[in-house]
Amino acid sequence: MNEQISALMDGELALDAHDSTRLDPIFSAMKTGGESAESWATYHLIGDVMRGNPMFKPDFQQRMMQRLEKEATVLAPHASKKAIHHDDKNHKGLKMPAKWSIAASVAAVAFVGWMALQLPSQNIANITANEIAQNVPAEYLVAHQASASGNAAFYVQPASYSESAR
Amino acid sequence: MIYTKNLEKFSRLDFVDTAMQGYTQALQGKQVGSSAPMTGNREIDQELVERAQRGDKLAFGMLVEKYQRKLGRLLSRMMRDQTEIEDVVQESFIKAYRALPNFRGESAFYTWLYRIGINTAKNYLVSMGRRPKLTAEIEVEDAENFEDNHETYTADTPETELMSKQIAQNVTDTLASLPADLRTAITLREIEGLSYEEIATIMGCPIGTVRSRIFRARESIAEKLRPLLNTTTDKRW
Repeated sequence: MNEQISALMDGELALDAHDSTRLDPIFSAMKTGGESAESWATYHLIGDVMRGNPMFKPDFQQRMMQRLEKEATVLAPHASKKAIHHDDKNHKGLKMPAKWSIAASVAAVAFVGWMALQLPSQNIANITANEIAQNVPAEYLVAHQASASGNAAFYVQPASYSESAR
Repeated sequence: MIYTKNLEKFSRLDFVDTAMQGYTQALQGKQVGSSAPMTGNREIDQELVERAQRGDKLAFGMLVEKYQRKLGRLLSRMMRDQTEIEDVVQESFIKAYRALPNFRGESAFYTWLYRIGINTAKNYLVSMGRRPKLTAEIEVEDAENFEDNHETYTADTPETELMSKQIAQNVTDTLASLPADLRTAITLREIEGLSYEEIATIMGCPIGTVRSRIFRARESIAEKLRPLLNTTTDKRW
C-alpha cells in the first residue's frame, strides 16, 4: 500500500480518466488514519525538507483539521466536472436542426452575396427605357414578333370603351 | 549506476554530484521542476478536490498536507514571522475550502490555492497597517517557479526551530547513507521533478525499478524520522 501511496503522490499511479475507483482502497486506508495516512504525510514532509521548504509546528495539521471540522461540509459534487466537460458541452450543445439552420443561413447569404458581385458595376437606375430597348438583341425581337400586332389598329382603342371606362 | 550516455538528454542533471552539499544551493539559477507539479499531480489534485466537493473533508486534508509547506515558503517572501505565516496559510486553506464549490478545475488547484494565499497575505498585511515585505508584486506565475529567497525562515520558538533542524539533519544524513541507486532516484524525483520515465532513462532501468527505488528511499528516511515524529503521530489526521 505504501508503495502505491509513494507512486500516487508522484502522479505516477496509472489512473483511468473515467474510473477513479482504483484510488478508493488507497483513500479508504488513509481515512483510517493509520500507517497509510502517516506515510502520505511523512513522504510529503521528506520532499519538502529536501527542497528546503519551511516546516510548521508539529500540530499544524491537527489544528487545521479541527478548523475544517467546524466548517460546513461542502457539497458541490458537479462543480469541477462541469468545467472539465465545459468545452465538450459547447461543442455538442447544438442539436442537428440548429446546425442545419445555421448552415442553410450561411449558404443563403453566400449565394446572395455572390449574385450581387456578378452584377455590372454600372448604376442601373440611370439607364433609360430607350437605352434598354436599343440593347435588346435582334434575335429576341424576331422570336417574339408573332406575339406583336401586325397593324396600328391594335393600339387604337374604341372611343366608346374609353367613355364607358370613365 | 547512472548511464552517462543518457545524461546529455537532460540539461538539469548537473545537480546530481552536488546534491549532497545542499539541495537549494545546487538549484540556484536552474529550473526547479518539482515546484511545478506534473500533469499526473494535477490529476491527483483534481481527484482529491472532487472528493472534497462531495463532502470528504479528509481528502481536503490530504491537499493541506501536500501544499502547506509550499504555500508557507511562498508566503515567507511577504512576511517573516512564522506564527503569522502559519496563520495566513491556515486561513488560506479555510478560504479555499469555503470556495470549493466555485472551483471548477479551469486552473490547477495549486495555482488557485496560491492566488488565494497571496490575496489572504496581502489583506492580512493591510489590516495590520503594513505592506508586503517585497516591493515587487508576487504573481502566481512567479510563485509557481520561485526560487529560494536566500533568507532564513524564522522559527518563532526554540522548540520548533530545534525540531525543524533535527528533521532536516535527519533527512540529509539518511539520504547520504542510502545506496547510490536509491539516493539518485529520489533526488531526481524530489529535486529535479523528473518523471519516473525520465529517471528510468537516465538510470537505465525499468520504470518499475524506479518506482521501487523511490519508495524504498522514502521508507528508509521515514523510518529514521519516525522517532522524531512519534510525538506528533497522534496529532496527525
